[in-house]
Amino acid sequence: MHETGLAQEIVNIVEEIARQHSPKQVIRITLNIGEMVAVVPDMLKFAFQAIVENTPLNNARLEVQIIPVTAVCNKCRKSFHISQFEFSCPYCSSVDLTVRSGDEFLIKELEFKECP
Amino acid sequence: MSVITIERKILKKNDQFAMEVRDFCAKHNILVLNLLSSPGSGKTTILEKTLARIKTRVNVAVIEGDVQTDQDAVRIARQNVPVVQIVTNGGCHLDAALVLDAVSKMDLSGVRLLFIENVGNLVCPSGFDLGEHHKIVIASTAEGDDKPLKYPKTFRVSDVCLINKIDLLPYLNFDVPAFLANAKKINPDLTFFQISAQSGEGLDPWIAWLESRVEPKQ
Ligand SMILES: Nc1nc2c(ncn2[C@@H]2O[C@H](COP(=O)(O)OP(=O)(O)O)[C@@H](O)[C@H]2O)c(=O)[nH]1
Ligand SMILES: [Mg+2]
Ligand SMILES: [Zn+2]
Repeated sequence: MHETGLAQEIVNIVEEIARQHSPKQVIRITLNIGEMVAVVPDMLKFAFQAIVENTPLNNARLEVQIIPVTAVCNKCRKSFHISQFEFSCPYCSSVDLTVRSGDEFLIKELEFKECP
Repeated sequence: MSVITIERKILKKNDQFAMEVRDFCAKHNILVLNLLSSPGSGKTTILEKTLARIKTRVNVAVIEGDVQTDQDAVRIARQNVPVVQIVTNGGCHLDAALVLDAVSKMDLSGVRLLFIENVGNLVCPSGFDLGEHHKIVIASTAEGDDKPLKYPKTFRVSDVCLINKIDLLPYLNFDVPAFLANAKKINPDLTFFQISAQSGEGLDPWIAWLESRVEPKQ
């Protein structure tokens, strides 16, 4: 499973940004993960906790926002949520769609607190 | 308290390496194909048979990815084409940094077609851009016709699907129309080839698809 490597990548990115904001401490990291991304959020959090133990990021909470897969139909112009990877329009059955979201895999936000 | 919005892609580094692979291959006019499948579906056998058929007309090279051993690279080397083995030591997928490293070690002068055999796994490799032009998913009949539904991401990101081991169809309850319907629900644009790497059945259209996309030997 690749969650460990991805958690390490997240830690690297956050540490680099945290350094620029020192001495403030990161207390929250919010990720956006699209439903289409093959990552298990619980495994990612577990790996993250193991990596940051005894580091300044130990107090940072990793939050995951799941981004649904949405698309717009290029025939009837309606927008909808795609579930179960069924890429066809629920209104007119067209398969000519433009996918709008669901592929995100990013660090959305960081929250800091001042050092006591 | 302060909150900053960074919108930083977690795979940004991988994407940068993939871009370097893509730029290099564009400059040298190399078509790159990334083969994805579960272990044992026949990636290496398909490559052997494909190379045997195509290598007199097209200059081909191969990057082999495996968790352990260089056995697949040894099999490919018998076809007398340039091959590099990447051993991931437990890693469940290839990433673009590994591919860029392999590309820089190979003599690709004159090569027009580069196959990358990814680590056997229908989940993890789907998320990593290697700088390829097309991902190609291979499903073998012995794995069952429900695989697209169970591993939708891999079928979604692929452009071509090879259904391998059709020689075994008489012995299995693999329902070809059901498989095609399942895969098309996920990816209506998939191109299918039904083949038997073992008997050679069905290979002609696949070979034609490849040859129509690359410049032949001078
Ligand atoms: N019956 C049958 N066996 C095949 C076919 N293609 C590959 N195999 C066998 O499937 C096994 C795994 O093949 P291999 O190419 O090593 O799979 P890989 O792990 O995806 O690279 C080997 O024993 C092959 O001989 C096929 O078309 N028909
Ligand atoms: Mg193999
Ligand atoms: Zn519609």
